[in-house]
Amino acid sequence: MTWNTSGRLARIFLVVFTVAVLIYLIMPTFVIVPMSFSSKSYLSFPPPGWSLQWYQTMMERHDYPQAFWNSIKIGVPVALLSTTLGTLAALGVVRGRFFGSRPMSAVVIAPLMLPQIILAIGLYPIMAKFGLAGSYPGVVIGHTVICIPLVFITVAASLKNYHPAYEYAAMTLGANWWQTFWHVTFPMIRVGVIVGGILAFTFSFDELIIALFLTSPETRTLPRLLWEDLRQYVTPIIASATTLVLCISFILFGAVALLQRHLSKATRS
Amino acid sequence: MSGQGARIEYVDISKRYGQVEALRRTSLTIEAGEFFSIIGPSGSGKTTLLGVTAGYVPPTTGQIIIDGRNVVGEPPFQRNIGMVFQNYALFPHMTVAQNIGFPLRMRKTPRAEVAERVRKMLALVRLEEMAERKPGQLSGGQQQRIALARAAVYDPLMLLMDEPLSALDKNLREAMQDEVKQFQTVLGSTVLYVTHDQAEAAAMSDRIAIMNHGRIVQIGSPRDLYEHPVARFVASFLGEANIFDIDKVSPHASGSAIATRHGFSLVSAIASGHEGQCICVRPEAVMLHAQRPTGHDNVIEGRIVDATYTAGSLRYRVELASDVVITQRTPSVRGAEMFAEGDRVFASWRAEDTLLVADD
Amino acid sequence: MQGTTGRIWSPARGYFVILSLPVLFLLVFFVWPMAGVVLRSFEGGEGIFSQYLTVFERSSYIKVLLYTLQVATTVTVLCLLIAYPVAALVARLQGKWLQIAFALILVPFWTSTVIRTYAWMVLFQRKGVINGMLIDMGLIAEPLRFMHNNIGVHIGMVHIMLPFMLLPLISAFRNIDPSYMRAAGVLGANPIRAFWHVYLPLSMPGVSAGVALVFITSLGFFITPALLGGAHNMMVAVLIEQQVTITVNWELASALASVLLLVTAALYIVYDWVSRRAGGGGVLD
Repeated sequence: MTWNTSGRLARIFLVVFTVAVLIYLIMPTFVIVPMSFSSKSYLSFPPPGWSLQWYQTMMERHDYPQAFWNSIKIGVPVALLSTTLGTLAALGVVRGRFFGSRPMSAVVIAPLMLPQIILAIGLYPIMAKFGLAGSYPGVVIGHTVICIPLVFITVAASLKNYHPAYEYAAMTLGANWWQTFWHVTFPMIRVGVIVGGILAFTFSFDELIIALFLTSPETRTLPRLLWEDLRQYVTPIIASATTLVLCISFILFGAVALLQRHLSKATRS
Repeated sequence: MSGQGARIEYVDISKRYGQVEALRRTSLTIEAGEFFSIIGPSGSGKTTLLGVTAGYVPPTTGQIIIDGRNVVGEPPFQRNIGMVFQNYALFPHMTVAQNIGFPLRMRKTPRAEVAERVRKMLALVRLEEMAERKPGQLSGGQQQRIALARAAVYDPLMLLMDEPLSALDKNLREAMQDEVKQFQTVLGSTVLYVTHDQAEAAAMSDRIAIMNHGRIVQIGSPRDLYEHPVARFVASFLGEANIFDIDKVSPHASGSAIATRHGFSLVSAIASGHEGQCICVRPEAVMLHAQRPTGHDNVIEGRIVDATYTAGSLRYRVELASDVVITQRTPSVRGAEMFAEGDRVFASWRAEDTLLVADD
Repeated sequence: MQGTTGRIWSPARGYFVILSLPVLFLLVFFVWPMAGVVLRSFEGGEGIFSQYLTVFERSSYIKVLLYTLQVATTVTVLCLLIAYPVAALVARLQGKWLQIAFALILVPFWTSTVIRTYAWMVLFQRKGVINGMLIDMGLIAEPLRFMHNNIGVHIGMVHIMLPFMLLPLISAFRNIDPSYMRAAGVLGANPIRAFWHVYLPLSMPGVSAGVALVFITSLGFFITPALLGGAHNMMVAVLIEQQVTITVNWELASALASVLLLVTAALYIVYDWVSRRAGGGGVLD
């Protein structure tokens, strides 16, 4: 056998393998969607018949709608708070370059790298001390800690895209710190900030471990409710709720993809 | 909108980054309405001096006194200084009119006045029809003029320019030199202009400071610096220079007699006896002859190693000794005979053109 | 001598103030809780190391720690073996195909871990899709058990970690100039030698980034092992959660968490140091 034919065989194998891996990556997620429209209470694929009964049951139960709204009520403030703090951190680290900015940036990045279970068991006693355990502010703070580095990374990337001379120019022209940020810096990093905010919301919307420790039955999020239900029984209601969450995640994913395409077009011109 | 520019006095100004002394203690005065250039290689401290003046680089020591007021310690946005950046730093998300109006809006100028002054400024740089374009849609030269207009629209005390023409191609650069100079004359501003291009600085400036290793080596008019360089660095940075190393200097009837390290002796009109000097002869001062000339101060036999004809001038490289090749330049005359490579020639120059400068 | 300057306005001071706000927030709500966990791990026994003695003396806890290391290692190796050829192919795609491949890799990124683990639970059931397919194809007679054992945990975790391995590898491969491989071919290297001496060394930054990311993240995994794993094979994050919620032994949970914290932080510091020395950027760049 020559190098040529064996090379061609290897290439065919590589393509088949890659397609198989990509299917493995996305297939399980989408198996859930048809199940949520099943007419039977047991899970089988493909479903024996179709109906919307599980969506109806889900809406009629009070815990699912409540958990859904809780997730929104927690995710939106998390996105706003972590976008603000993450953007400030990125500005300070990327533009600052002063003595001590490296250890400070390590503190900013670290929450994303360490296992969340440690943060969860560390935050719970502190939140309990302040009477915030189980409250909205408690879990919002917990999620914000991990979302700050997410925003930091996307905003820092946008800041590195252009030279600080724009900010110096604004300042020599008479703009103070706030005016410089609002009129010059922010318009130039806007896409990074918005993408960071969406990432933060998505993280909070999907997060389980912190929510497990810092929410109460009244403030519990959708992932926590799913988790609690999963440990008891696997019914198509969970599939319906999951499909709903998937829809929201993919709308946000699409928004980010469009924003990034817009950004890459803008930087190319 | 024009007014007299301010007078700027630097007293003992210096800047240190950790162990690196970017700017050594420097004192300097720029007169009101003067076009003052700083030239020097990269890392010579000229950009640091600019940053210190604009205010975004805090100096380690010293004062900057603008019209009698020390501005060190003030943030850039309180200094009322205009700056043109190397790549213009025009805000890409604003139109040309918004860019020029930006400093006025930051000063809470009434809307009607902003519009009026932007219009006048656009007229001055002859770009009225570009008002609603974005900077990305303009050519390099047009962006350059908008950057000038934006830096000057609020009658700043002085204009700083950081290599403003370096991004333009050669022909446009020469046209823009006149443009910048005319702009300054109309407005009467004090200009501090930083460049690494000595020809550009010479064409525009009233005075030039040459910087090297964080300090000013010499200040003077362009002609002064070219004709009377004080140091080898100045002589070779500003224009071309033939440099000879000195072995021994002794007094002579018309100045000094100098034994070079290259095996020949020279006569200079400058009386000297300083240690650590070298000789500088400008290429235009050198004359070439086919026969040994008589009555010339310095005559050395040599061989042409290279002859080039460039628009308007002839340029020869002549080997005088095994390790000495000098450059000679003369304006070309129509149909004049040229020496050819390998020709034996006699190079000569006057004792007045044998400059003694500090060796660095 | 300072001259007459005194307190000078400087951009660095402004950016310090700007950075101090988020850093202050993280000191209170991140550094303090972490420090609290470490401090609590020295409490609640005789002598300050009593919790650690418990952790390292009782064989059931040692088993959990070893199992955690073993799963993280296996998952990392599997991810690398699967992701390397896929990344090599995807990195050479252009235009629309590249975008499609990227979308497929990023979709799981945007899907909650709870949901993806739930999907595997559905697929892994006794009468689930996978068993059904295998029986229909005649490969097996009786349904296989995937859940509450090693197989399920590994399949689920590899599924979740694979994008974290693919993305750094793809970016490393895209940075390799294809002309190197062509040059190696022209110079007479056969494809295997060219791969071994050219492609593999140039892809090492991506490999090390992916391996570090996957291994360190796998150590702290909670959701997938909790739902798909069995009671006999427990990972350390699951044990920590159980110690708090079921046994209510915060001190022991803190000691376990401190061990996890120490290992994770140490691995990051080593990785940062190695990649910095290798000339690439560190974790912070």
